[in-house]
Amino acid sequence: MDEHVSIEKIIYGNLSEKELKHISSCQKCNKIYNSIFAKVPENLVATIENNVREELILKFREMKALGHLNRSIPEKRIQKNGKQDILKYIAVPISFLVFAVLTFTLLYIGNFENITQQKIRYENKVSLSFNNLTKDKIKVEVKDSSLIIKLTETPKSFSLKGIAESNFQNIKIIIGNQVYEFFGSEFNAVYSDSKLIVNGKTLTPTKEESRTKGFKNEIILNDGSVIKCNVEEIGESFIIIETEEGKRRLNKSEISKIRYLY
Amino acid sequence: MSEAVIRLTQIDDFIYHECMETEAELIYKILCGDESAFIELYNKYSKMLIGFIYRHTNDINETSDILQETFVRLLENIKEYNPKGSFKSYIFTIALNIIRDRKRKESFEKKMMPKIYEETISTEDENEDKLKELYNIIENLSEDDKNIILLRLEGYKIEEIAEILGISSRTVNRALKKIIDKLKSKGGFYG
Repeated sequence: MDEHVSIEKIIYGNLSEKELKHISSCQKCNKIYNSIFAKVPENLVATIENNVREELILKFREMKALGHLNRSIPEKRIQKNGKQDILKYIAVPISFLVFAVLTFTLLYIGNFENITQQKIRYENKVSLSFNNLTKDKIKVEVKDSSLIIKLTETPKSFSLKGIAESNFQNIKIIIGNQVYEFFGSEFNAVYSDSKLIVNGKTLTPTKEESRTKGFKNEIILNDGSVIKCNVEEIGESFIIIETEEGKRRLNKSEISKIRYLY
Repeated sequence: MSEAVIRLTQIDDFIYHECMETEAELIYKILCGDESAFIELYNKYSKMLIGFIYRHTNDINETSDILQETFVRLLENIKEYNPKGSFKSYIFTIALNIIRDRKRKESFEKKMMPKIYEETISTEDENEDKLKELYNIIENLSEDDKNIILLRLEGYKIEEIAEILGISSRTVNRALKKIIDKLKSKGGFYG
């Protein structure tokens, strides 16, 4: 016969399968086990439960009638576990992101031209708006009553709208070494496939007369860069030169060599 | 397998798989005046509480009164309930406070050996004295240790007792060992 299971073990719990088997088969152990863990008889429990339930329902109705149990409570009070908290932390940034993306998309589709378009204004004389170009690649100057718009780089295509606020003899758009000349105070120019169409007409370019041809000197700087220019004045420690961009003062220490082209 | 063993397994299932999920929802509904939610909550916890309260009171009427007062206090303080905490621990704490108050006023007898257990053991039973000895030991324990052993005798596991009383499993273990050591010092049940 197996050894009896001690009451100490029964109380402490964590009984092994063997011990449980013994308790269920041994009359003595079974009796002691049931005595220790004996429950209040079910009929008695049911009587207490029913009586108290009736009393409590009346109490509940009374409290409800007095207005103690008819209020709403903050949402956070009914959170069951951390999952909802996590969802909240994720949902807010995601909603914000979706909102931002949607807003941008709508604006972009509805107002594409305005978003990509840039504008410049030159000395209250002309307003230019353009696509596929950046401000730093456009140089505007007025020379001999001509408005000259020069692109420092030649893009594959671009569009350029202009409104001249002064009277110009003509307008020149210079792309690379091609000069397009036309007349009028308002223009709508579109450039693609090396063709410039202004106000619906394709213009034939003329070649720009390079000013560099007229320079007599070539200055090689210490860093190796070359400036074509006309040397106007040579001081003790400096020289003044005229370049395509205008007059410029250079320190002699910056200069490696001066060449005379003629 | 004895009935008692089967009953313990059922309690396990109830505690770990059913009651932890919906208390917050039920409390919310009760706050909004939903009577059926209150009855559902009552049905879930009344049996557990009756067993535990009875072990303290050894009196059916006192058990009824304390059970009723527990739920009335729950209703009165329901707005203070924090759904992130354990509801079981919350309601058992209410019941324990009421038991403590009543014991202080000595409104029920202090006899720890419940009548129903006395009935399960015949006078010829050789273990009667030992069981009585067990309850004598329980009677002389501190209040906290007493709660631990009475919950254990209700069939709760160490982890469940720790959760209900809001203490660590280590404390529960220590208290149970203390009682077992006392029992052993009295000769144990089977020597």
